[in-house]
Amino acid sequence: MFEALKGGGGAMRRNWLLVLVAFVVVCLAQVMLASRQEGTTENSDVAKAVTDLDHQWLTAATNRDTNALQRIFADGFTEVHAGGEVVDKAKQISQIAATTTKLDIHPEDIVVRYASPDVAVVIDKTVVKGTRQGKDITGTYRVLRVFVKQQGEWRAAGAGLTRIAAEQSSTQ
Amino acid sequence: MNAGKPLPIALVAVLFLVFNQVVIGHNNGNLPASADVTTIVSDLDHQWLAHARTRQTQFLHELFTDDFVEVLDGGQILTKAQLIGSIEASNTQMDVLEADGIQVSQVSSNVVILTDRTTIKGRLNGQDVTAQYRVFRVFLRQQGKWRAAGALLTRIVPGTK
Repeated sequence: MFEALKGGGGAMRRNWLLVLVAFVVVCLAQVMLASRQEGTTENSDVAKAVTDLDHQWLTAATNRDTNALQRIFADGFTEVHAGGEVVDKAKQISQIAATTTKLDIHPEDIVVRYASPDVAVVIDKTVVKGTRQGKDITGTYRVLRVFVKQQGEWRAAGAGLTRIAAEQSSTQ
Repeated sequence: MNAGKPLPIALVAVLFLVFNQVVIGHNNGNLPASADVTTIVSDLDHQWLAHARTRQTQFLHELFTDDFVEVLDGGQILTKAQLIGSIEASNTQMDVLEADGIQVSQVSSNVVILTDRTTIKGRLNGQDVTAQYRVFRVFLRQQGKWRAAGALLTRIVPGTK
């Protein structure tokens, strides 16, 4: 009987040790998850990815490359144009594709204000030369852009634009 | 042999706990959108403006993410601290600050884009900002709570839809 208890005690100790190891593993998993969700380890990669996508977006708009824009814009994409017009993905692409639209657009001073593994908020200064649906929209704009990661791909979720003040009074 | 039987049970328990933490915990950020997200963020939008008008900035401290950023009409960029400081300033007075025409687009389980028409009558840092604005707002869900991550205002040009 005593021998059995001795043997049982050894097994019990092993099991408690395993439970302890399990506890440590669970805690480590929790810490790793929290780290991923806060994006502490991947922010520089996110910043590079969305900065590249910002350039691709405006290059596609300049080239009226609507296939690229279909890929870049998330479903549910929303843009607020300077002056207050709100457009969804379909309307934004149709405006860019219009024969009366001719744009040369590029971003400057891109700053990633918030980055996590699946969301980024970016501010840039976007310089526009040209017309959208026949209307001259040449100017410099401050733009707030939002990017989300969907099925492993970064996509543009939306943007809001306001004309930078120095030029606002002369063109509105 | 009998003494070793609890060992697999302990292993199963370990695997279950790890699975629970890694898989289920990860998916917490990607649950399907609840039907009332539109109601929640629309309500937050109204509360945001009501608390800004009445300078109840504690609410704004909790609503805004740490990296919150607001772009004013004209392009000026304000951080969370700068915006709250402006709202608290003695030369800020908002007689009307209200939103209508709210539209919500949920682009992922944790990200919402909201647009509204915000009517302002008053002064911000001594400057008259009376006008109607289209506002682009970004809400993120962090640890289960919806918070404002950013906003951009553009003055509505008459005749704009």
